[in-house]
Amino acid sequence: MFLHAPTVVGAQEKEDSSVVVKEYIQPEKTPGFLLSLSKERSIIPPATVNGQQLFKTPVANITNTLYGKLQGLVVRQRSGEPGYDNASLSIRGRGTYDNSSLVIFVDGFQTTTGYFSYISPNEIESITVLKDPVSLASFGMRGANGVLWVTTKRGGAQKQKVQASVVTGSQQPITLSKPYGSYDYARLYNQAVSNDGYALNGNQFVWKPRFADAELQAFQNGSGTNVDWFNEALRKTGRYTNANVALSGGDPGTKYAIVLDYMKHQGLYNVPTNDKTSNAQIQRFNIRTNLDFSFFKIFEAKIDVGGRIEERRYPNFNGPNLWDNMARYPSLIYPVKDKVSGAWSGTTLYPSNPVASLNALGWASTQDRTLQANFLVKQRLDFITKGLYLSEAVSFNTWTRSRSSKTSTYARYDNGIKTTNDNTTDISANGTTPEDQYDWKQINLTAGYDRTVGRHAFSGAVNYFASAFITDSDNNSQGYNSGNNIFYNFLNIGGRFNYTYNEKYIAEIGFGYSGSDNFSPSKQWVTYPSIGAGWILSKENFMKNSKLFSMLKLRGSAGLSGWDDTNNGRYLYQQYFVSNGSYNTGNNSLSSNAGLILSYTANPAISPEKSFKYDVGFDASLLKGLDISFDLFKDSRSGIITQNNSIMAVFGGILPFVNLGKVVNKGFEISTNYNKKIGALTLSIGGMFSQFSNKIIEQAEVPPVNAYTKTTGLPIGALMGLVADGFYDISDFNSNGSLKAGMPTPSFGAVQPGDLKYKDLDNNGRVDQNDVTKIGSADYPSKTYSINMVLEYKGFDFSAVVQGMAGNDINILSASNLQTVAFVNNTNVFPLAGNAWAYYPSQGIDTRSSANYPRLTLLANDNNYRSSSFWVKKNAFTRVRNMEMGYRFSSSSLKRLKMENLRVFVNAVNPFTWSSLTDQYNIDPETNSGYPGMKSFNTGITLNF
Amino acid sequence: MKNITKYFVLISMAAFLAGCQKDFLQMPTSSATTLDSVFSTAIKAQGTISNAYRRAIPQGLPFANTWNAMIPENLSGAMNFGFSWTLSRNIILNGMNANSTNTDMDGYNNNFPSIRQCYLVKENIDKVKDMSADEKAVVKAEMQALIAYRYTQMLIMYGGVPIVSKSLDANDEGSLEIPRSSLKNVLDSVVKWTDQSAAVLPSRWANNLIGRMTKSAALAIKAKALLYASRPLFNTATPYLDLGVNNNLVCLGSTNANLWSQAAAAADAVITEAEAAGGLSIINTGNPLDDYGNATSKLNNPEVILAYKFINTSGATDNWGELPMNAFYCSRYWQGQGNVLMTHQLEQYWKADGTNQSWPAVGTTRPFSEYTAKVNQMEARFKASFQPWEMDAWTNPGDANWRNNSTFGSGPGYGVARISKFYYKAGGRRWFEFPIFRLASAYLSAAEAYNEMGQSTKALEKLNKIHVRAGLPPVTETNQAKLRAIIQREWMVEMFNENYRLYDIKHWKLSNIGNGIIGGAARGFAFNDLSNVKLTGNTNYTDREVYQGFWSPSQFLNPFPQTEINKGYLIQNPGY
Repeated sequence: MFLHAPTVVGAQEKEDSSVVVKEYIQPEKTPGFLLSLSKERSIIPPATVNGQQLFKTPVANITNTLYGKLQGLVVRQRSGEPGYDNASLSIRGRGTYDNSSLVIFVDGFQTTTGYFSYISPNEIESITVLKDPVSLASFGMRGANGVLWVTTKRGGAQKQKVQASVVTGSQQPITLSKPYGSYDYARLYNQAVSNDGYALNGNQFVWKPRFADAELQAFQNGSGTNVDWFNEALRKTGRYTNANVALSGGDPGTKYAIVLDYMKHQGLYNVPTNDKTSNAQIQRFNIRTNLDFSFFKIFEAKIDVGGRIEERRYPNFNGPNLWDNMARYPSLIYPVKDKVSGAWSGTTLYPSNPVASLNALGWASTQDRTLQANFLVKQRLDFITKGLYLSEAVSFNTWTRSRSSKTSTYARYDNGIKTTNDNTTDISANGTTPEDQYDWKQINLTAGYDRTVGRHAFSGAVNYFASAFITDSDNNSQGYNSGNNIFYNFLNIGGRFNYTYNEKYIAEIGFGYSGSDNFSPSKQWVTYPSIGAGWILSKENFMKNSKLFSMLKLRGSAGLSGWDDTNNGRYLYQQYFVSNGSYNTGNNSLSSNAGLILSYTANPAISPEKSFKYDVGFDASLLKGLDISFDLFKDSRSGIITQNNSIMAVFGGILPFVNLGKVVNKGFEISTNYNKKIGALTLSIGGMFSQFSNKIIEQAEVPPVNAYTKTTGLPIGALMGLVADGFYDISDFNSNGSLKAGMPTPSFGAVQPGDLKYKDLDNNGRVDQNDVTKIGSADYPSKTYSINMVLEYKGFDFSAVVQGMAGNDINILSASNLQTVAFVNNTNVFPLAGNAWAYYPSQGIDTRSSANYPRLTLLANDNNYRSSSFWVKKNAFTRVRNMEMGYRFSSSSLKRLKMENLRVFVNAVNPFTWSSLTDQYNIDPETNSGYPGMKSFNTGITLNF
Repeated sequence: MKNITKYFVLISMAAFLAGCQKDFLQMPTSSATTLDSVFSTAIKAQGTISNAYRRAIPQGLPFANTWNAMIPENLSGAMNFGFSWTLSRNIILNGMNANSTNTDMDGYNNNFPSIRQCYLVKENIDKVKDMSADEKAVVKAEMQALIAYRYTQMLIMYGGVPIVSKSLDANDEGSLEIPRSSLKNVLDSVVKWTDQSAAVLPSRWANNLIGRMTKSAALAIKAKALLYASRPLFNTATPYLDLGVNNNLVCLGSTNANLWSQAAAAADAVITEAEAAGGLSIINTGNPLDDYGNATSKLNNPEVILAYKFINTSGATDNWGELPMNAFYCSRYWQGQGNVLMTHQLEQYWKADGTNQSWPAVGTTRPFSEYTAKVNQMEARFKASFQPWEMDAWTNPGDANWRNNSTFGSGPGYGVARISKFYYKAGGRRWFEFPIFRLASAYLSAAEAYNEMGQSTKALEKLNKIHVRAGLPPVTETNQAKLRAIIQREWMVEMFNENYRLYDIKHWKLSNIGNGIIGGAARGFAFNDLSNVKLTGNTNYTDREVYQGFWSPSQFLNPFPQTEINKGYLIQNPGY
């Protein structure tokens, strides 16, 4: 390593065999906003994870380390593209159909998801999910969707410690869904083209192949063109490397923690990263310096600086489009390079040869610079009254992204003929252009009191929080207050008070009083009260000698919180006129008169969405080493900002936004942990399970014709569509091609045998939009679960995380369209469509009884390819998120090397998945299409000095 | 003491913060325009007036950015349904239903933004400081006339509709539950509004403002409403389908012969006003092709009472946002090439000598040379409206833009001829003014009304003004029924593609409407042994059925959208 280890003086700490297991124990103090209480006094459902655990998942993006770690946090994997691999996060299900984003605080200040995503796990001390009514009330108008409370590592008053680690590994797609090769493509194409002639051939299936047998043979024996675009454009593995050094230490007056971190994540594209081309990659350089000072007995100061640079580089071709093209372009269209001219192949129909897209267009890059600098001063005012303190903190957080590239184009050839207007050009460098930025200034002023007198323990704090966020990103089209320099100003006065009597009875109140610039002056301030109570039964006499429980605490809380940032736009109370169309007048030369209209009808009474939350639960520790936490919760949302569709058309204006939506979300969570020491074996195993369900109570839905088409009363995002009823058979049709009498007529174009048949739910003889009903659950789980385990035995350790979800359905037609829809729009055919309905007895083809896909067609088919139960699949899955095996070398052998600790480890990320969707259709349950989610195998070493 | 100081500091800090908060949470100034600023000066208010026109006038036209646009003649049987992706195809083949389809491109709901905009201007224009009272009165009259225009169009398509009499308040949901007014009420309102407006509106505008409502235009709206009200569909005690106690929504409740005299008087009033103070006239220089061509194509020609002036400023670059208004009418665009003439409309045209052309019977294949010969024998209005196959357009002789190959493109392969109306001597000009009201329609209205009143002399006088201008010998028929058929034929020919035929056919209740006009066999020409037409080298042609159109009596009027019906304040038209 490049750092010299400081000489360690003094005795070694007593050898403890369970170093790794310790990382899994919940902290003694429950982290949170305003108060950090002891476990006993807290009435917050525990959900905290520390940085060491997250480090066990070596991935670029911190959001991908959170699977199954935090009770209540639903983490769903998305694209694995380097630099764009955020998992989606939400807390305790979905409470609203408007903006359900959670809020992230790092070291007491709010940050963006982008800032959080690329913090290194090494910087993190702990992450806590705040989801209880009292905590969230104190966040006021930012609390309703829950809060992720992150703290970074601080130094301790101890000898200097240095930890250095390196981990590196290779990554592979978890699921790579490839289309058929040329032979199967051509074979099935013949079916499709023959099927399309059904009506023209007097309503008969007549075999009119496009590919002759000789051509099919050529594809089969390899003499025909057969390009596997995935193979050609991708390498087998991507790479991940992370190296970091953390220093910490100090004395009672000065403490420090310094983290240096370098990460490089390379993608799957089969192209070198050099001056002219680039694989997808991100490099990240992080530095964090957290300093603590105390002086004059009453003052404490903290200076935290977290900065980083992110450099992303990509081939100069839109990533999602590239993956679409690999899936879309049939294998037989052309070889990678044209055989006659030797140049890149390309045609007007298939212009973007995926291999050429990587190699011949140059590269593009973005440079991100981020800095969060926090400063805090705290005064211990014990001289006024014992336990009183004040603290004042400010945070400056700034981010910019600029973009630069080197680009070129290439001429496309097909059989020696140039097919498009593009010419091959030399690579040219483009100047750096700014893309986006934000800065975020925040102040936190706190007055607190923390004292225990006899049987009375009191902790309380009141906080004034001001936040000014300015960004360039133009996400405000509805509000017509868009452009650069978009301001988001927010104020909150929050408070939390905990009183504990006799270490048994706990009472807590919290409140928030928030103001947001998003609402009219009379509506911008809202008060959010909350109340909670706890009772430690195990301290009562009747349970003191319980043989079962060592601790049992009942707790309950209720409170209000809010949300000010609707997806529907900002300043909805303000009436705007916006330009719209123009009208020409004049004689010979017309003059255009620009038009103006009223924008959406202002609603001066618009106010933030409200959430009334309840939580009751218990925490129990059994004497045998088993801990259990259980929570029942309910979240009643009201005033969800919704465009009022129920207004009659005669109104004629753009409909106003109104606080009318109501959603109820409820569920329960249970988590257990079991710790045991059997001789030299230390064991910790934990499990979590949570279940939640929501229901839309009110959303101003225009009443549909039939009650079963209504989405009000269903969960948010429930899948709606027609109910499929098998395939039409030849016997369903008259000789003139019309459906036999009594069969409902579908209204999505002509049908023929092999097309999907739908149920006519209202029995009116027509299948149309009025027969749409609920055909599946939302693509959002209703159950999540995980198992965390760690074993340690004489220096060896093993840990694993298994996580899964259930209760969610998926419509593969929309989630994985290219893979699902065969041939239409000159696309490909995937094995999913391999057993399509077909009837050509002369060719020995008759899949009428076994078909699991409608008859193939080359044409857009509105009947088959529309949302129906046929395309809805169950999407439950279980995934091993992480497995790690490590060995810690004994201290005695290391002493000579002046090392305190040396641990080597190997681990695997996402090594195993059980998913019916993958088994049956080769679609990943989480990353349904595009750049796949990744699994990886890594080795690493950690040294402590 | 120390404590007191501390508390003092705390309190003053809190007070300071509270003071800042008001500013801190204020909405920042932005580039947006608010209600207060709009109606402050005439220049700013101008934008709202322009938008009122922009929304009201192009009703039923493919002016908006609708990818699957259609034009009304796609639905009337005069032309085919266009490309398979157009809105019209589904309506022609399956009929209208309350869920998605409508003869109006805009749909029912979109009438009301236009009406609301007019009322907003009308109600707020008095706030403008730098306009005279007279100017404000004219603006209000314009708005009133635009509202009347939308109601006339709605009346024709839907029957009785809810009458909105001010800009409604979204927060007062009770005031929004406006039921359908009776057909009679809507008609009376239109008459009242247009009378009021016509009294105030100018007869002519300054050159740079041509395109705004004139007295003639307001009178033309009134005449149109009265004409359609007089026709058999509405002017009856027995509606086309029974709606029970609500029959007054779809008919007038009795046959009122007097309505025809009101219609005649209204049409006469248009002609009188237009030809005197309005400075307009029927163009008749003795060159029928030139006259009819100019009347339908030349910008601001003397026959235009009101036109929708729409320019495709992006020219040849085909900016889709501006394209549809032109593209679907112009066979120089591939979109327009999907629209071809069908046999039923062809049969309405006379030969240049005033006799009927003998077209081959259905299924009879004749040589292509006969086709060429027969189209060349047709009257001037045919030649000004169509470009037959394998022929340069008559409208733009010698112009490379209108050669046979310039407009051939990607049509359906069948059809009698390509369309070329509105582009007489237009050359490379891709845009045109759509005539909302053309003086010729007032003459035909008057002719129809006088004939129904039994005054054939007056009817022939009005009819022949148009018929003779087309280079044809004057009509002399005095039998009411026979003359009625001739006048109807004149409507279809003279006003082809000007948004009359579809509604005329329905309101006349033509007996074979479901049997070869809109519903039933739709006939067009196939070529080369029932195959597709070719750019050159066509061998023969055959009149054949190209598809079966849908018809049921429910289709006489449009359905109200089911989503609106479900709100519980509207009564659906019968049969939906």
